[in-house]
Amino acid sequence: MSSKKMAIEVSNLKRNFNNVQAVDGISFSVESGKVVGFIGANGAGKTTTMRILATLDLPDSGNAFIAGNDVVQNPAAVRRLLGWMPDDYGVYKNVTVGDYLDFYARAYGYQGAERARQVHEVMDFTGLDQLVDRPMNGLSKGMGQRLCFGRTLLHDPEILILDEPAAGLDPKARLEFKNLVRLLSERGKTIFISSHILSELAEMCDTMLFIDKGRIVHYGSARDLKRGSMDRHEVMLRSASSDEAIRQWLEVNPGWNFVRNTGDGILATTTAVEPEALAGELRRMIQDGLLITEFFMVEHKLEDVFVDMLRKVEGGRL
Amino acid sequence: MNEFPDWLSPVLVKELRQGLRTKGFVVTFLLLQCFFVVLMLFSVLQYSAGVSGNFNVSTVSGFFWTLVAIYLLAITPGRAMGVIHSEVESGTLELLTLTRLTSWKIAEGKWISLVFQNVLVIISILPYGVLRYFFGGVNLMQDFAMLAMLIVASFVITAVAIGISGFAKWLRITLIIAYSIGGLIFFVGYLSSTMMGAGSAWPSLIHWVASIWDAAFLVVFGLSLAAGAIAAPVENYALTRRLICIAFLIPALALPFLLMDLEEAVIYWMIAALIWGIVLIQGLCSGVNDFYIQRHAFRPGGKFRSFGPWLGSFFYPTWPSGVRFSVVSVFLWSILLLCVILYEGEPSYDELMLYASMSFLAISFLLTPLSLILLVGWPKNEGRWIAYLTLHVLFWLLAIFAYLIENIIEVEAIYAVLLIIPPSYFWTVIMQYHDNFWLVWISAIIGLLINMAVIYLKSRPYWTRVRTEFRLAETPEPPPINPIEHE
Repeated sequence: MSSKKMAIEVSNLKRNFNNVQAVDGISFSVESGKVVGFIGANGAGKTTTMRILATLDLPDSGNAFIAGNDVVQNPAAVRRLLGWMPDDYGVYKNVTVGDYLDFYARAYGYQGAERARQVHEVMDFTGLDQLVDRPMNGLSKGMGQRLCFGRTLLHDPEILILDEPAAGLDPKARLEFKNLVRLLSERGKTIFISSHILSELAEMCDTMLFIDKGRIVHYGSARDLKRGSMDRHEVMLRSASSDEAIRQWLEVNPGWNFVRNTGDGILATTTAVEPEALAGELRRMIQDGLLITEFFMVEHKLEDVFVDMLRKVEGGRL
Repeated sequence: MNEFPDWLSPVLVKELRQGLRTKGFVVTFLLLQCFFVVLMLFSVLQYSAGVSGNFNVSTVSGFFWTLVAIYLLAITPGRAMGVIHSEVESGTLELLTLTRLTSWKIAEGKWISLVFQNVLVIISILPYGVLRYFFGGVNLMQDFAMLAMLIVASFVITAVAIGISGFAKWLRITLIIAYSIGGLIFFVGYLSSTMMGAGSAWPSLIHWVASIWDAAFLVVFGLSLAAGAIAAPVENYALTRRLICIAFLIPALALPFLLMDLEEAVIYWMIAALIWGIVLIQGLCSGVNDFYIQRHAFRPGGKFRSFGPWLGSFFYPTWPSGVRFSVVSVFLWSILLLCVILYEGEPSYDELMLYASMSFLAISFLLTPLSLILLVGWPKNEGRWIAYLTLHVLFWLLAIFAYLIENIIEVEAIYAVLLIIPPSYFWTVIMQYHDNFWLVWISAIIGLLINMAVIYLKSRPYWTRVRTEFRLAETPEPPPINPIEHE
């Protein structure tokens, strides 16, 4: 049994909407201080799961805990610990950025100088201090998302649940957002974040959780996913020998397949997945007289891994 | 002084900041000032001309009060009508429920903000009201009574409008039309009869207390409706609304003891009964899935300790629980009404029979449409209350048919069968014109027994499920399962 402190624990969670099983018995846990990406196609069950964790929806069955507090039994304690950022936040008319944050700071129970300090800190951290008197309904998408993120941080929550926070942001705003997540992670916050932009999630997250049709299909690091999710690894080979010699070697050695000649090398696939096994294969090539100058694994794009994984799920292989 | 807003509710501060900047408030405020300026100029001119005998001060007062009434009873509730729905749609309320604010605090803040804006407008137009005194013929006490009545009515209607603002659009439109036709006709009629006509007597203190009590009941009920629309699903608002009814019932029924006049008390009872009826119908027309939403509050060892499951059986927002609450409610009303009857003097046999019939019929009225819906098995969850109310209308039509059969065609057998429908025997008992009184009672009892049997059989699976859930809740939770060891 692990002694690590868990920020989020989900056990056999189910949620049905009008006979559609949005979440179908998922179980997972997120360790405190980690950044975990939550990935799935539209309608996969990401938002439903996150809303249940944020106490905004209820499971039909199963349990969910935030820092040991049951989201159904003890929602007030969960809300104190949690910062929730929805994919679409509402805009108030006739309210400035400063008034908006001030209102939420009041709503979280801050008073007087403490409230002013809290609002100022959040504005400073998220770069909203230039927009304090700007009407909320006149903000760009990026600024609006930033404001919503600032609101999420107002009560200094330990755990952040962010639903598609980077959706619709331009590249610059996305980069800034990524930096904010990195800073929060350095401060020890647990961040559970969903996004469609997988490559960005890979850079931000320690681990990634894949969901499809309400079921968890994979949970692991981005690196593991890129390298280890396929049945076979792709290897790029460059040598001082002729391409034909390499091709012949690949054809006679079991576990290897020639893919194509890329012009500056040979792309092949191998069933040798472990680093030791790959090193053994390289040694055999050299022993067999091939003059290998470069031998490296090709990392897959996360999008390809995800699509491949979904294909396997549909084919009943996962 | 900067710390002053810290004493106020955050929602009130935000709503005031926001509300006072809205075009709706600013335009209405300026238009109202313009109207009053024009009215006063016109009055001054008329007054000057009236020195020669042409000026009628009642006309000015009539216009004055009509404008105030339109603002307080139409414009402000109109603004309140969209308060919850628009915020639910834009997703702003959901984020608020995650803060320390309860849904009740949010609803209350919105209401107080509108009330405050009303007070602001009233203060701004008081000078115009004072100007009228220079023209003479103004009754100060009557003016105070009128202003107080309009303000209290405005508080109530605004609270109810905020409550309704969480409903579906078509329902809000229907209620606005009904209110516009009924309410405004009543108030305009009242205003013209009191201000332009003979005037009215100053109401007694006890009438004021009774009115304010019922107004408070309506305000609390309206805000609880709004809070229910705002609340996250884990918060139980069937409990709140039902407790509000119980809390307000006893004083509402105690008023006759103070009034010493049952006829005068009836109007206050009717208001209490109307709200109570809405709560009961809402309970009876609920689905059963919402049990999951509230089960945690009533689990054994939960908030209500070992009483939890027992209390929950009356307060879940589900129809089987609604049936139990309805039976308890009718029982409570009956006991309290019996106390009133006994206080008024020794009742005759006929009076006691009438009282017993009323209690018996109330429960039949409530349960018969539900038992039919359960028997047919439709609608399952959504729109059940529309079917419920439609069945009531149908029952009244059948009661008229029964009356025709009894009086014109004189077919006793068909009449006896139709007596199973509550309005038929209600009518018969109330009017006490039927010779075969036993026939009415036997039919009524058979009808009620059939209904009770249907409801009992249909609710059994639900109560079994509830018991199973609680048994499971008492067993320790298994540790969370992580299918993939990721460390």
